[in-house]
Amino acid sequence: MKTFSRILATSMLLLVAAPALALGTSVGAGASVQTTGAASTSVKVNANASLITKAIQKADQEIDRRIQSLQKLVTRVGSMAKVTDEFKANLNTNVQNQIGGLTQLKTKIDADTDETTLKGDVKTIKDAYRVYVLLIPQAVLAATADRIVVLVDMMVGMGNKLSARIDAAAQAGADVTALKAALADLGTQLTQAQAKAQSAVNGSAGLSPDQGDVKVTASNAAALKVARTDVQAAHDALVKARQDIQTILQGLKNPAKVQATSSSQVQVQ
Amino acid sequence: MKWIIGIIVIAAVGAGLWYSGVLTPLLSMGSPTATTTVQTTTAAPSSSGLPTSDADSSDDALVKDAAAVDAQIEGLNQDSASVDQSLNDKPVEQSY
Repeated sequence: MKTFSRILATSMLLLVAAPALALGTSVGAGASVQTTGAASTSVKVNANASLITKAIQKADQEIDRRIQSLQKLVTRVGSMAKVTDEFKANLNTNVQNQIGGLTQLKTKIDADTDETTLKGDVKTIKDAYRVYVLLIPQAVLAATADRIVVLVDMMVGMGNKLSARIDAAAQAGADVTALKAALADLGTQLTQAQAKAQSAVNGSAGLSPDQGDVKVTASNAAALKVARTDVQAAHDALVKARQDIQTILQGLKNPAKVQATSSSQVQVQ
Repeated sequence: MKWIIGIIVIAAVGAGLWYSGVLTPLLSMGSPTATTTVQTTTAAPSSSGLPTSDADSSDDALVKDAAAVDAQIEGLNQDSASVDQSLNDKPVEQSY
């Protein structure tokens, strides 16, 4: 299990190192309103002002949405248990940089009065989305894999305790065939969950932003989809493992008795 | 002359308080000899992350352990939902 945790931590380092998160906010162009003629100037300025106001509102909505999502991620990363403090600190720094860049960009956009400048800033939002749309699932997948490892450890601990109780029940004369089968399945499910969690991290942590390359966009999407499937398989295995634990707990409460019949065959009630 | 009288008054009040025992609890707080050693028995920590000791396989311990596992599974449900949400992210459509 420790080996797995180490592998998980190493794989996650790729996630931390991969994305370039700094937002390129360009500051400089002064505000100017271009008019074409005296008679139409007032109407065009008003129309432009309305468009600019609307564009700023939409830009703010998107930036606020991303900042909220990133802040949630900070909280989730902070609660990860199976990665090193260094990993958490690095990931946290990257996310905070992203938040800082978005906040700075929002301030700039809110102050924009020139359409050309605003268009450039809105484009920055779209360009930064390439990083955001990869960073969020990568980190969330890593956090989910981290929790899966936590659960595997916990259930292994419970399995050891249940094994001892099953042995004691057998010594007391109970038939523990079904309980041992459930315990064996518990081990199988935990192994499956562990392998799938590792696969999810391996498949997603090393991805890089597509930089506008359509092929990379497609391959990233495919890799994230596979990682999602792996995480779901691990999740399902843990649910089955929990059911095995419940079966054993119930069996220990009401142990089946070994009965000898007149024909001397052993039957289980 | 006044400050000498002031010092004498303060010293007298202090001596009175000390003699009456009012200051005793305060003075003893910083004294190592005044502390009492409280021996506590703590369960061995669980290496598996369970709330109870790894060696404790009692019914009570198993109930607590199962509850802790269920809480983590609930957290996993939320994580899975977050993964889906992140993969289906839709940005706000921009004007430009």
